Amino acid sequence: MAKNKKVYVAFLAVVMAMAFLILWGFNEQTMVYYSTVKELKDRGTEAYGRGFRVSGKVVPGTVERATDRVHASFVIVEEGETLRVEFDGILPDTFKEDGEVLIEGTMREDGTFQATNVFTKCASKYEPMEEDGSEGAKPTNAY
Amino acid sequence: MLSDFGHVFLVLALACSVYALIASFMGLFRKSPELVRSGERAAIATTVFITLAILALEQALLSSDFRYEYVASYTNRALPVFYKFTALWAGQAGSLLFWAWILVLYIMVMLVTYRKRLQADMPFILGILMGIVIFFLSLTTFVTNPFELLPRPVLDGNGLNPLLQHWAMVIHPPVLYLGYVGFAIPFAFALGALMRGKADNEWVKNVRRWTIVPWFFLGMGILLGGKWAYMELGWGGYWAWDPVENAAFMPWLTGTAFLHSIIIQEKKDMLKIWNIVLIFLTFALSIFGTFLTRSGVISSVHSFTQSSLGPLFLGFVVFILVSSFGILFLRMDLVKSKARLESIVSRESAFLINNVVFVGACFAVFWGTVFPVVSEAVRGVKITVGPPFFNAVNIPIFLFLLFLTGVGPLVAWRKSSPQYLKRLFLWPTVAGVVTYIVLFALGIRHQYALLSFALGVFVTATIVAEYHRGAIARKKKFGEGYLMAAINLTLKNKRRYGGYIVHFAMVLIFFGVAGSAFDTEVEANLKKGESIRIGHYEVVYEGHRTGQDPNKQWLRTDLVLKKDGKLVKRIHPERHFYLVQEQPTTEVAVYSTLLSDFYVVLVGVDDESQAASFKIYLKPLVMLVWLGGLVMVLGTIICLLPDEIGPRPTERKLEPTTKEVTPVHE
Repeated sequence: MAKNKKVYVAFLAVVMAMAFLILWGFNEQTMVYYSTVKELKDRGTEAYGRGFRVSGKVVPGTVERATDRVHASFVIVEEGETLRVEFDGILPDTFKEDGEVLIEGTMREDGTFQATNVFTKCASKYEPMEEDGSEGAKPTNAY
Repeated sequence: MLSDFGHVFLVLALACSVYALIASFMGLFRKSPELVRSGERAAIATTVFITLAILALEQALLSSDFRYEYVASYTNRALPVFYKFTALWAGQAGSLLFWAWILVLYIMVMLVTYRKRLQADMPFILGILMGIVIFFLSLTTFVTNPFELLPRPVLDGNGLNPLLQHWAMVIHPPVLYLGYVGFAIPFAFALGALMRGKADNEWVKNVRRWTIVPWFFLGMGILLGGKWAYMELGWGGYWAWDPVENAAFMPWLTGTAFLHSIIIQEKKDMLKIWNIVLIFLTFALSIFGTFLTRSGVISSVHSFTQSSLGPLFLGFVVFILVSSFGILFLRMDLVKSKARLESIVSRESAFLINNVVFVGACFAVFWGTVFPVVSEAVRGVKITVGPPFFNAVNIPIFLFLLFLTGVGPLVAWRKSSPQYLKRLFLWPTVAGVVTYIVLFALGIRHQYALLSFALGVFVTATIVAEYHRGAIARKKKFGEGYLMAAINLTLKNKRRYGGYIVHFAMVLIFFGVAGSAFDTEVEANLKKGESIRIGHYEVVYEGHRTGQDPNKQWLRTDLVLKKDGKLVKRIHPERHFYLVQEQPTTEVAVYSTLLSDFYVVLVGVDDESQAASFKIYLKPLVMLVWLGGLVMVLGTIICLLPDEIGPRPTERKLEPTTKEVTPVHE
């Protein structure tokens, strides 16, 4: 019985260690808050430096890609509120003007959003064609 | 045409599967072998009709029959035939039909194998499995029908998402499905044994191979998905803790725990309830994985698979959990274990801790994945956790598992003496510590990477030592050559040595993942003739070309890769623009060696300056991840070989305490 007890203590230690790891894993560095553009702006200075995830539509004509380095900048809009996003990475292949995007990153003090990740939501493209050919705007530059 | 009957085939298949379910249980209830037989025949008929439906859909896809919504959504005329064929699983409706087909094929193999041997269990098992078939057939018949017609036919289809046009992505879904679906079989064996009221160790013995097969496919599916992401998404990684990746990883974790813990039940008659719980969880997580993928409840990069099926799948998961755990609760008296643990330094304890840790890892992944939903429900704030959380929690857990990989298989059952432990572990421990010191002296300070390498060497040393001891023993006993002795040793004891090979494959994967701690990432903006240096490598940009084929426009750059001044290879990172989908894709160029991958992404070429910008990654040891996958194939095949192959199979029936289970050198 005494030996059995030792076994249980060992198990308990392993389980507690894992529980601790999971609890410790949730902290300000790892948590990313879902937020609307408006909520993000309402937070004001309190939002600086924390992780957020916002979504919106890419405003056509606002996308600027640097030619001398890997950098892109664009404006997203959600329910009338706009936000400029700066991204030092390669935009996903499915990124399009007027397309839905999901952005993770931090708020900067100049009011722009520094993205660490840009995801695209592109479900509509794979739905059956309802309005054949009505989508006119083809990108002028393929690349 | 065959495709005109597609819908009819689906309805007939559904009718047959419902009959098979009713006949199986009614046959049991009325003790009528004839009824049970007719249930089996109905299951065969279900298989035939689903096969016909698959053929019908393939015909429509291959002939570009754009009367069908499915065909128009996932193919177009210019698509290569190969991708037309594989479009069967490119979309939701086809995938679900494909799911059902794989399941009935598994069921057929199972019926052929066990119908005679497990006569008493078979009606239960078949009834349960047909219930699962009915769920999927109902979805494809009523909710998301692949044979849905468009209001009016279109001239050309939408084409296949160009990101999915890659070999690894083509075989990734079927392989993953073979994994997910396959867990239905051990699940049904466990539940069937409980329902029949004879949940002894018999089902565990029968279920081992049937678990290794889906476990293997699930693992391969995960690796192929990683390979695809690495080659196609162009972000230089293969794993991102995305909810959909986690969805496949969770049943793999519990499935791995189950594969280990059934050994304990077989040999020590312990953990009966635990094993049943594990396989229930594994199957439920498989369906839950499909739910996560399909529902879009949790946003994921795999957003091309969102749909409204979420609630149906969640309902099915709840139904599976409630009914299976309900039955377990009612039959609790059948599955009480008598044996107890005697010592912490025993194989039972090591395996048990392994199990607890696997399930803990699974819980951590689960909690992190569903946290946005939970936090929103509880606190009203939607919070997600990304890779930093998963890495922080899982890396220590997996390092501990790696340690157990070295210890678990070697310590003796019941208890191990200190002398015995010393003999087993002295040299492997020395090897691990020396590895740590040498790497530290070389300037590596990344603790997790250091531990991965040290523990990996420790585990490898234990495995090599096992082979060595076994081979020497055989050499003495039978006079075989060393190599022959090692091969015969493996063939004579396939489970054990096949398992070692799988463990070694895991070590390779750990090495590959640890290598990512030393990734370097560089941006380069190069005019024609300019070059940039990264590590020992240098790349020269020589220019670009453009062109077009029916499917896409392409932009191709020419780079010369040099190592220490010598030409190694010409590489060509590209960007494609798919015309039908109006979507660009990145085609990375990778120069792989065992030591590192030189990985180049073309970001674009500036029209005015003609300068090209690239993102270049130098990624050490990535190759070992894929190599680990190949070694895992080998190890799994050895585990699955029939017992008859090899010299004098003595391991036919494993009694709970045969001598065979103690290490050969004792």
